[in-house]
Amino acid sequence: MNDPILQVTDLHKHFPLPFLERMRTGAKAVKALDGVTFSVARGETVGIVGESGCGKSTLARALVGLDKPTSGTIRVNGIDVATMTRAQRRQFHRTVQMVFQDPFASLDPRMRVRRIIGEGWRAHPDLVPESQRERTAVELLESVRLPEEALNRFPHQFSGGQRQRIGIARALAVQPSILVCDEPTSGLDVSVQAQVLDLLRGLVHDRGLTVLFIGHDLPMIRSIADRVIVMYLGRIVEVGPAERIFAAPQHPYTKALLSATPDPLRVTSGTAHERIVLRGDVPSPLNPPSGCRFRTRCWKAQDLCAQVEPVLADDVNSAACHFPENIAPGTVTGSSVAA
Amino acid sequence: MADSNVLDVERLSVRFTSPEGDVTAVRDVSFSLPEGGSIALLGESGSGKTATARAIMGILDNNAVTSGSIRFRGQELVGLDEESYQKLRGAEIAMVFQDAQSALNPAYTVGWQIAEVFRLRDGRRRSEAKRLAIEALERVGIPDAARRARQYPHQFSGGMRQRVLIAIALALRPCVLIADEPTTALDATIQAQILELIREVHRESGAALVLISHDLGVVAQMVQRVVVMKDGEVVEEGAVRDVYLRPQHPYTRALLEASPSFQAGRFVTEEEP
Repeated sequence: MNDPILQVTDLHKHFPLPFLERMRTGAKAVKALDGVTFSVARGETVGIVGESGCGKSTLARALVGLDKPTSGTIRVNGIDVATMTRAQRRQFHRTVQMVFQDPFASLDPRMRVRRIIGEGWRAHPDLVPESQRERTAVELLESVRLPEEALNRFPHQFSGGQRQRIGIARALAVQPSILVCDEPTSGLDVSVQAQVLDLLRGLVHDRGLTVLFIGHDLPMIRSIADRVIVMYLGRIVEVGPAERIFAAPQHPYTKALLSATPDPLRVTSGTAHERIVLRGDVPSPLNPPSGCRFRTRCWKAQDLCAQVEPVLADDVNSAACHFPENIAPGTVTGSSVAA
Repeated sequence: MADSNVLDVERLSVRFTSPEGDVTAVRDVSFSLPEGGSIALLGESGSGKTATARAIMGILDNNAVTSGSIRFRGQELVGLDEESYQKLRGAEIAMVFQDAQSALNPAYTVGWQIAEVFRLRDGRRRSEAKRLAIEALERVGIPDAARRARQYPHQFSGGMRQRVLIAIALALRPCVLIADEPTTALDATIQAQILELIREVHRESGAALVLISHDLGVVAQMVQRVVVMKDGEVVEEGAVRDVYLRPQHPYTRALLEASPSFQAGRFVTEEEP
């Protein structure tokens, strides 16, 4: 990939279990991330989808440095986050900003919006000179379509959608180049979701931001992402350009996920994807199934799937499956080669 | 015509009184549901869809004033005394609640909570009720039902809990099943499983279905007719196909356009000839 701004290599995040849980379950740790590798090009918007427990929020937290990975590397602009100097780390925290999932929990209820937005400038005073701060804050508010008066209000005086926009303004205040959005619209009504997404799309475009957009809603991811990463139980099961993923999903899980979030117009006009209903629940990440983690719910699973864990052929466009779907004849997919 | 409808809602209004002033949550809502038919109340939060459902179930809070008419097989439900309503609830009209976590009692086993319905409402004996509860669990696709019946709600996953709620709602074989956002808290693939189950029981039991949802895609998959609500009023009603493909009201159009799958869908239709 030319000019990757972010490179994640074999990232693991294990949460050790307390003694009694270890005894009870026979597992040592919850493997929230279990070998995740991908890179993101400058200016790209990458959507990360998966259901609860797949590790997508853990990934987000690791990327912004809120959690330390158990192993593996994260490189931002080519520099390994783990070995950064103090000064580099300061820049890293400015460069990578996060928009949180819950706009009710992520804004300090005792701060006025002025302080919420301006807080980053206390840590990075050189960014905006003191005299300019008021004006810059107003500009930031304007960019998220909130009036100047908002500066003097408290978070509780805003609706969910407005709060999320304040969260976005706060993230943008320190002029980041990477924005990690962890399900920023999941608690909002449909029409408000669309507004926030629209806004985000505009800002990303205007400022040339690189975005990691984490979500569980495939249609929404589709409306914003250039490339999509699908996760299941701590691993990437499929990665590819958004259009390819949605038109021709290769991994059975991606296919099931797509059919589970149907397009209303396609359903009514009878052109929707075939309806796939998986059996069973997502297995516990404490004891993931052997081989392919998805095999317990997969309708294509065979003996091979229990024995050999399929791998991604590359981290740009492939699926980790022994029996992928929608493969054009002659296409090389390392994963379909039987071991 | 009215005879073939299991439910006729006419000019239903629900007003909540409070010291700070009254709020009208539902205003002049009318729709009807044929025997065995299916309808969705579609709207965003605050549109009055849950208040409408609760009015039908007769489980609104004490500060609610209901006016208009709800007829169940011709019987007027608005103003019905509590005793008669109790006979109806569960047996004729049953509801699957949104939040399975709080709809189940954490202090009792799942089997006990299902058996309770059979004991109290059907006059079954304890052992018989227990057997019926296990059968009910099997019917909603819970594997190893006899063992699961002895477990507590916290030992069930979200999807499994929702199955238990469906089992309870179906226990007395009601002829109207109201499902209030039955899958909002669930993951996509689990949601697909629960919807499939609801579709199945709707088809097999012949119970009419009232689905409450904010999800246009789910509505399209599940029901024949849709009532689009906004701020407590019906803005549009009709067959799902007509409403989605030819929305008459600007709000319906806006909803459709706001749904990201629509934006994506439009992209696809442009590509395809």
